[in-house]
Amino acid sequence: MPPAILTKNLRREFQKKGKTKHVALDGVDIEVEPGEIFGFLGPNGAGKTTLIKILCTLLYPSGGEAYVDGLDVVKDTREVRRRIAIVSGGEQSGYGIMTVFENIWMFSQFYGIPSKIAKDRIWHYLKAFGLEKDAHTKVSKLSTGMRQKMNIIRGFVTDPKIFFLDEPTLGLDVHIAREVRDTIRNWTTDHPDKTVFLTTHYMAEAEALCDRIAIIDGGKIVECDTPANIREKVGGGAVYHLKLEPVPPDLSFLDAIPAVRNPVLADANEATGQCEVRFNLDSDDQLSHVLQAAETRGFRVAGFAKAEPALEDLFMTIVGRKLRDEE
Amino acid sequence: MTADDTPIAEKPAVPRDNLARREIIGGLRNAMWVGWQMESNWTKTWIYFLYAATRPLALCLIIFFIFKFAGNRPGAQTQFLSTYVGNAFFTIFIAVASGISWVVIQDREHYRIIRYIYATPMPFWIYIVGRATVVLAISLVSLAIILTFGNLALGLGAPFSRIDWAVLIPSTVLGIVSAASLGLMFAGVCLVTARHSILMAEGAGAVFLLTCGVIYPLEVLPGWAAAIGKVLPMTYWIELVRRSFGGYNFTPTLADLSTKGTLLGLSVLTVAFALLAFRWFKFAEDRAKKTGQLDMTTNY
Amino acid sequence: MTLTDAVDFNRAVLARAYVRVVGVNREISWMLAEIFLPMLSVTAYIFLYRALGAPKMYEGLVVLGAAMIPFWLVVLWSMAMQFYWEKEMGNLDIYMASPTNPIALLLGMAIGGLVMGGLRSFAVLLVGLGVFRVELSVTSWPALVVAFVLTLSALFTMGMAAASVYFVTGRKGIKINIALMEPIYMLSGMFFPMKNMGRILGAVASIVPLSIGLDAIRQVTLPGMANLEFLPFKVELAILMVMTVVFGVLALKLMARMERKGKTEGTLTEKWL
Ligand SMILES: Nc1ncnc2c1ncn2[C@@H]1O[C@H](COP(=O)(O)OP(=O)(O)O)[C@@H](O)[C@H]1O
Ligand SMILES: [Mg+2]
Repeated sequence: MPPAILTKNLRREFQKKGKTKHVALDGVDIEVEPGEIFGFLGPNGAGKTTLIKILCTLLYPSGGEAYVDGLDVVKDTREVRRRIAIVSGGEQSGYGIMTVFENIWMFSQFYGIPSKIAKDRIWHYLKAFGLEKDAHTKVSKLSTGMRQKMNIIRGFVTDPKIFFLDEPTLGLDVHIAREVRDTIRNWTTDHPDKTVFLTTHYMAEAEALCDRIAIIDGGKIVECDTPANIREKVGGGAVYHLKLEPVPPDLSFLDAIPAVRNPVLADANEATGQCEVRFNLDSDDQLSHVLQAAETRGFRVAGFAKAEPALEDLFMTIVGRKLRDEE
Repeated sequence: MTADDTPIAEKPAVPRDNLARREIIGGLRNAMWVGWQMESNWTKTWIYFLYAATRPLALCLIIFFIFKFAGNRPGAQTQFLSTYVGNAFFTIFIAVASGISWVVIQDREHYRIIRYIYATPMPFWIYIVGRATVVLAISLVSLAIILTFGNLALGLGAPFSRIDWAVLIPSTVLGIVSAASLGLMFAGVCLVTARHSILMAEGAGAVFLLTCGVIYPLEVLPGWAAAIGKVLPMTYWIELVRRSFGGYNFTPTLADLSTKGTLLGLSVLTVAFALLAFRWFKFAEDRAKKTGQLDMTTNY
Repeated sequence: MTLTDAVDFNRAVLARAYVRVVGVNREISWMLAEIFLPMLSVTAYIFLYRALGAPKMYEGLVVLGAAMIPFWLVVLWSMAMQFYWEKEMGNLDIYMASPTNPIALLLGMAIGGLVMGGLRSFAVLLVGLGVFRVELSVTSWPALVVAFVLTLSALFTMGMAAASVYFVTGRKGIKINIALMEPIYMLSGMFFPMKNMGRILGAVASIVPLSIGLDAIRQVTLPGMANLEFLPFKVELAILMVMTVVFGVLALKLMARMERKGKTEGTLTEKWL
């Protein structure tokens, strides 16, 4: 079976005003297996939508190759389109004067789905989303959350092999966003062969939903792995918080300990004369070396904590480090 | 996000008498600038004026070809002049009336900025008046183009040097005020209904074309339609415009009226019209705020 | 195109048409306005002819012209502007990412518009015949049907070609559309016979299929048209046929170009506002 999505050295440039070029995608290589929920994580302007548009045949790449279900997105446009659905967050699609049901039905007809089958599916998903009461409500009367649910149903009804979701929970409140995530996950549980490719700039969302995550920044993939492995790779797990007194002028006293990585001096407080030092450590065993080094230099250890990192922190670490490397 | 989240109805309205004259003038100038940008910033100014004259010019050409086709009776030349002038001035009426309702529609549906305008202390009517001024200025330019074109290319024979300005100017000012009032009425309708009300505004324009003796004398209408025409200010405006161009006796039933008396009647009707329009717009605006329709959109 | 392709295409066309018709009818006042409006302009020009003491036949001419207006408006607003509207509404990327041909979308709009336009056109004819007692006498029904169908096919293929052009011109397209309404009424001889404009202006006007089509339709419905026709009936039919083919091919070419250009420059789904 071909990979659900495959890109090789994919590039996309945009002509900005004047002669300058803006590189939105800078040599992207990804491979997504059928059945995966794959997350594409990155800040605004990172190139997420650009990638989705290329994969959904709405934009040509400037270089490289992209395949969806083994089909070239540039050459086999029509066949690719038969296999995909796309839903974007924060979009205002649909016809306000038509009902929810009519809107979804109309779009389903563009995929050659016999009307009867389409209608059954629509009811099925309206029920799954708890929207059946609003089936005959005009779209202009829907709340943002309901509207987004309608959009996602529109995607489900066309039974895509690969479902593209561009920031699907953008602008939704926490509660609705969770509902949306749940239904996406339920859909993949019910159809284990379906692939979901979603972009987001919410770390928690990627972590909660995805089998694998690619982190993109400035058009480049900086990391691509399972959420667990990314933690592992970046931080070696936990973050250690050490409260020291008085505030050290620098962190050179930690240089001698190779197990300490990414040390940061934070929260220096003039009044109390205390500060916090954060770092990653290869293993707990090494902690005694750190405490020792601190005491030798005459610092008092006023407190200590160990925390599992949120993906949020990891992201900052990765992107921050990557940016510094380039300079 | 604050502008989005604050329900418009809860914004405290600024009482009008608190507005300094400076603010009104500033607001007007602003609205005019916005109006001009929205109308014309898609092309060069001269292309824009050509564009603005195209529609009314085409309507005048239709009149011309109809006369060429069917107007070969004695006296047809003066009749052509009267019809052409009536039609030409009527284009101002349409531009101003539909321009004002269009402001409401355009901003609500397309630019979605109406809520931000409401969020400023400037009363909406100042904004509308400012935008309307731009529309009026543009339609005056295209009126000049139409009349000049008529004279040069169509053998109109409009007596530019002998125009009775003392009749033309006051009657046209009154005519414009009544057109603006009508536009305000329709803006009110637009506020409480969906997008298609722009069609109704055009439809209403057509009703006035029909009943106000613009391109034919009232006499060809059935009695009840002519009666409607006789209570509308536009009828008298067009009649006075015609007289100022030397076109007497176009509408025999109005021919007996003295020019001064007609002017007076036009003034009274215009004031009544304007008051009615203001009332209705206020009412519609309140209703729209109550029902939350102020920034609704209607895709289909 | 295989059979399943054809079935799928049909499905898409009908779905779009259905939504369009239902959408319009849902707003009663809207429908009334749409039917009511074209009637008003007929009335005005009929009265003008009466004021000029013109023969009764001229009124029939006006009624026929006005009966064709709704179809022209369908072309202008429902078809030519369609891609642009859909983009502004955020629907275009969904359409383009679906396997359906964009032609289906336009055809759907055309058929939906045909239903609505037909209704309005019918209303105009009813008023013309009933209220103004206009006399039409069809000399040959088959000829009338052929002329009408060819006029519509030339108009609709033109609308499709225009859709891609307007898509690229964006907001200017709307302006052009508005600016074109009355000039087209004028050029197409909506309210007077086309011949009246003279050969040169007439030739210019012939670019719009409406002019030739209307002239052809008048020839087989108005007895008095005998020496007012612009070109012989059969020649006009031939021109309409050629136009259908030319505009059709052009539409396909332009559409492919629009998609290619949009995908290259990244403007396919980018909104203006
Ligand atoms: N049509 C376009 N024209 C010019 N630049 C574009 C266009 N689309 C996207 N870009 C630029 O490409 C970059 C990536 O954009 P995008 O893929 O939309 O980011 P994301 O979806 O991750 O927020 C941005 O800097 C954006 O300004
Ligand atoms: Mg994006």
